[in-house]
Amino acid sequence: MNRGSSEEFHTYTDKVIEQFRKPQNMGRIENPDGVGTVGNPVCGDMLRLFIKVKNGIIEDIKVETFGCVAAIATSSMTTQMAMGKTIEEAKTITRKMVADALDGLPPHKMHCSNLAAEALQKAIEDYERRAKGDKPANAQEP
Amino acid sequence: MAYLDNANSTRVDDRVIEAMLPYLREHYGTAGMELGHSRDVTAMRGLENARKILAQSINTEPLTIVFTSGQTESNNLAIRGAALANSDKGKHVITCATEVMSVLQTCKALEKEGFDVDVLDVDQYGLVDIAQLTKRIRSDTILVSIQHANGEIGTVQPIEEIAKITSQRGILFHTDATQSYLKIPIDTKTTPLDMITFDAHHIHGPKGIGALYIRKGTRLQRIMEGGDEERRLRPGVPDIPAAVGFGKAVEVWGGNEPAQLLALRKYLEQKLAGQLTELRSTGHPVKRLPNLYSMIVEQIEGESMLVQLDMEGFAVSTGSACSSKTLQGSHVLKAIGLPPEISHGSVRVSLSRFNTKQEIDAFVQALVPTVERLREFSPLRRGEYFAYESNSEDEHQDEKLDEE
Repeated sequence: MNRGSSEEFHTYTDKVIEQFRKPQNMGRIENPDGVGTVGNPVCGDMLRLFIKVKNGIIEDIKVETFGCVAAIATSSMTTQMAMGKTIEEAKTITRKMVADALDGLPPHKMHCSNLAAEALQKAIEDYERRAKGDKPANAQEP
Repeated sequence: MAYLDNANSTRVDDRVIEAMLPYLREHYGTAGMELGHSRDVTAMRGLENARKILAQSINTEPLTIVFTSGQTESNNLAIRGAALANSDKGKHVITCATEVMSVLQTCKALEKEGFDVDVLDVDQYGLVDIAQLTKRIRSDTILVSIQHANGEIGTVQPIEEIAKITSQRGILFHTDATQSYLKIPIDTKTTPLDMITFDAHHIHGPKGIGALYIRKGTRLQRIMEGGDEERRLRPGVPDIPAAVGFGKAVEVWGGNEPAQLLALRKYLEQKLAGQLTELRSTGHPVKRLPNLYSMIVEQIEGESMLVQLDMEGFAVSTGSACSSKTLQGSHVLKAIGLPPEISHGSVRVSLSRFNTKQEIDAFVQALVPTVERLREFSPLRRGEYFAYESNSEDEHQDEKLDEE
């Protein structure tokens, strides 16, 4: 059993805590143009990212996150980094860029709780697939 | 700041600190076996007085109490010491899945040294099944180690029944009473326990001091070499100031404290009821530590709740894998059959004499919006436990292995 006020939490940077306290763009978009789902509640983190695209630009982005402080902070940061970007620009956003924008993450949180960039890439793939006229990637999409 | 993590450790009582100070400042003798100078004698008196207080608390003689450095050492000494000393009779040991690591890992180490260990399952409440235990007993079983109460979910094991079974068969029975000590009475005269682990820092005493009760006539081998201190079972100069503090902590424990803790826990349960949906408590509803309430808040993850509550001044615990550096979830929650996605939402509240109803009110007031906020953006809030489409789990697994 793990403690509430252990020093472990202080290994989060101020930026992580700031994002966790006031995460941006949380929630879902009705009728999105692309959806990306990553993670697995069994591992502890699970998120679903929605994009709305107009003229090749991400004009709205939202994310739903189940997970720890790092998962929520990286979700929020990723949406802020992608908002207003062109699809091509958004494609270059990586986990490392997200972690760097938060002044880093504790090493053990680097992979398992930093999935939002991956969800973004999946949402973009989904958007491109739909643009080609294929079926949406996620059958359970709202 | 409301400290609601007393199953983890407790605030040292001021009376304990006061009792310890003279043994740090003035009576710094070593309480050796030999007749020494007056400083040694004063120190020895302090140590022996503490031993007497501990002995009285479980209705035994001071000679049966050995001071150790805490729960971990007591468990090691009890299990390893008894296994080694009795290996001529057999090499089979029985324990259960919800024990603390110092029990489980000691048993694991014994396995590597040629002992056979059976780890009993527990039911959904965390209780061992007496019938299953009886069935597992073999002619070469020498030791059973089952905790008195679990520190994560609070479930209290039927140690009286187990002791009856083991004593009839001449098998040693060790129980780790760290969490239950003083909260649930133990009488060594009426319950045939052979070894009991105690710890001071769960009862407002200092850290780094514990004790092991060893019934007279129990064959035990020491696991650390050195001098003859502590009945030749635990060499080394005991931490006398800490032992004095341990004794004081026992002495000042109030007889009505368990009832007060239970009343406060019930108050918490009442306050929570109806405030939050999809909340379930873990552990046995009745056979439970009076001061412990452990719950699962569905759809959200424990570390997030903890950090949020911490920022608002409340210290609690979680069994969520995400809050441990090894990313391993609680083995206790797993043992009671909770799937990982559920146990991620675990929160444990554990109370002490220093907690008040006002703190409980404030805690519930902070918890409800915390849960609501995190649920608001949880993808699981509609019960959508959908399949993932990511390769990140593989990486996650690699990560786990790296951590180990």
